[in-house]
Amino acid sequence: MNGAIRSEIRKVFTTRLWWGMALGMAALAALISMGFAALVSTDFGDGGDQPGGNQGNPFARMTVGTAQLIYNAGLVQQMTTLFPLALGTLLITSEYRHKTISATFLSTPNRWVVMVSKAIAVSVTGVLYAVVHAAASVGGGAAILIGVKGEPTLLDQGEVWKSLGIGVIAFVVWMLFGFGIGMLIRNQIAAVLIGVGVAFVAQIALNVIFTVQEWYSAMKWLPGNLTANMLITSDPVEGQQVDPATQSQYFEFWWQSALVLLVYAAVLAVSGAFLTTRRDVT
Amino acid sequence: MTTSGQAAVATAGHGGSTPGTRIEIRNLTKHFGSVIAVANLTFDVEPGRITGFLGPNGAGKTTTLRMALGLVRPTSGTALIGGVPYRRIARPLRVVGSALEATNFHPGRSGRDHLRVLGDTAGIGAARVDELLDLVGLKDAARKRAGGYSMGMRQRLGLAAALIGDPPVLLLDEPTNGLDPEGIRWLRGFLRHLSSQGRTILISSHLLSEVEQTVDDVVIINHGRLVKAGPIEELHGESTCLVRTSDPTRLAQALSDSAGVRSHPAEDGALVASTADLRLVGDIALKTGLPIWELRAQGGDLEQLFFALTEEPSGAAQTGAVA
Ligand SMILES: Nc1ncnc2c1ncn2[C@@H]1O[C@H](COP(=O)(O)OP(=O)(O)OP(=O)(O)O)[C@@H](O)[C@H]1O
Ligand SMILES: [Mg+2]
Repeated sequence: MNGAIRSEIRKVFTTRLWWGMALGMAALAALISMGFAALVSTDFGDGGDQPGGNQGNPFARMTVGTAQLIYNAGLVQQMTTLFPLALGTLLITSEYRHKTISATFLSTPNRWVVMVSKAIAVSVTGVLYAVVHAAASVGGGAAILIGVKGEPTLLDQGEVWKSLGIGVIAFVVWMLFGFGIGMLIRNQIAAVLIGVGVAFVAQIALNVIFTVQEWYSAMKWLPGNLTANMLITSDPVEGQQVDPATQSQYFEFWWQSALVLLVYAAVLAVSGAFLTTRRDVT
Repeated sequence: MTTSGQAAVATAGHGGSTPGTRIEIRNLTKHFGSVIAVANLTFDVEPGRITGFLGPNGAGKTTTLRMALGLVRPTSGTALIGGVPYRRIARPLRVVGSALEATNFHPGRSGRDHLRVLGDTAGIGAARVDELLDLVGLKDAARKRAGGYSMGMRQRLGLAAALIGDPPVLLLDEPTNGLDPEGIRWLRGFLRHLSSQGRTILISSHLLSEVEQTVDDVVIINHGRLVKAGPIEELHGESTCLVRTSDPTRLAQALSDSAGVRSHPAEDGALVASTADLRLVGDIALKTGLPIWELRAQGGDLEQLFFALTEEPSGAAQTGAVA
């Protein structure tokens, strides 16, 4: 088992994919964080005239929740979650594309051992990505807060660091989503397109529909929203007047969102792995 | 993983009661939907010998090897290596080395990293990997991306991967594919050397001529069915004769009717009969009233024989295998 895990981890880090994607993700994360930081103490983020009820303006003044939003901006915007999703998918499907899966199963014939090792390797990569993402986001966001806005970075607050820590769960979960989708679909192009399509386009569409229909309690079950809600543990609009109906789009505790996400990831990964253990490798 | 797996490797590995490890294919059958890829195949591969696994394209060679390696689930039948199915061998790389296709490498990963990834699963480190790269002559390209390797280099890397655990059994699918004559000669010497150490070696090919000088035994299949299995000398022994006459079809019929001699047409109207008895052929032609324009013995032309064996329609399987 240890050998199989080491082998899977070495697989990840012996091609260029992992750092190419990390670089792209870091750049995007820094940019989005800078954008969010630039909104602080403006009224751009005011949700007062949006469809649905007044959800308050998280950027009205710099709160702990606002800091959490800035330093996780890429994830909250549901943009940088696509990187672990795509990477997880690519890592698995490249085994089928280049037919290296035969060699993998020949060296470790127990396919469940392979699946678990892969899930672990993918999760380890997720942890690394979480660190890269946090560094890029904090760097970008804090630079604007200090240099342009003259606002406190709130990096001395434990809740801010807790949120960055929860980011690790977000990355592991999104890597595992990719892993599961890749295992289920196997065709590289199809898997990436479907994965990103569902995560990005379908989620945006559903969010719009749910908001217009005011189905706030349904919104909290979407993976992207679960991710954002898990990360933002402190209410950025504290003290503002908000429509109480909109509150049902959040779980009460961050770990509830985390738990739902982990269940989603487990269902996807286990069903992908199950199919893989039965299928012929030709 | 399990204790029963550990027990399995004791019989499958070097520590078995008989020296060497035998491969036993028993009634192996595989259907892909309506396609019958392998039909009730039975043969043995002996230790200390090189066995050529031969058949034309689509004969079912790769499918058979993949079943022997636990990658494809047989519709029925079994494939045992040292008495156990591949998937029950606890440390497979140390028992069976295999190379399925020379293209099975991630193009962005170096040859050395490919071997290290494999080695990790069996606790094999960098030292052995470098030793192997040297052995197959890939030292200089070891740290380059495999995507840039030539076909011959890929074959060598595949061979290195197969040898990584110093296994007593080697299964190689078309290892001569893409090798130049020099490469084929190198491979032949290399396999001879490995075989002299008592290993069990099975190499597949669709060209008898490419492995003719390498193998001790042959297993010939066509349309998923066994056509011939045995030492290659037995093939050589089966000599034929070529006869030219005015009506080859009638002569073929007569040969079959009066002496049970099989024959098949050759180029420009000649007939090749599966007998070395020229007198018999001449007598039958005379009795049938056919002139003989040419009659000569063909001492064991293996390639001809291979064609004769594999071109012969083999009953029920032939419809299945056309895909
Ligand atoms: N995954 C699959 N699905 C459907 N049919 C398959 C599959 N794999 C193989 N076949 C069919 O099984 C038959 C045997 O194929 P196989 O690859 O084993 O032949 P082969 O002897 O290795 O041929 P070649 O010399 O071309 O490599 C062929 O008719 C092939 O089309
Ligand atoms: Mg083949």
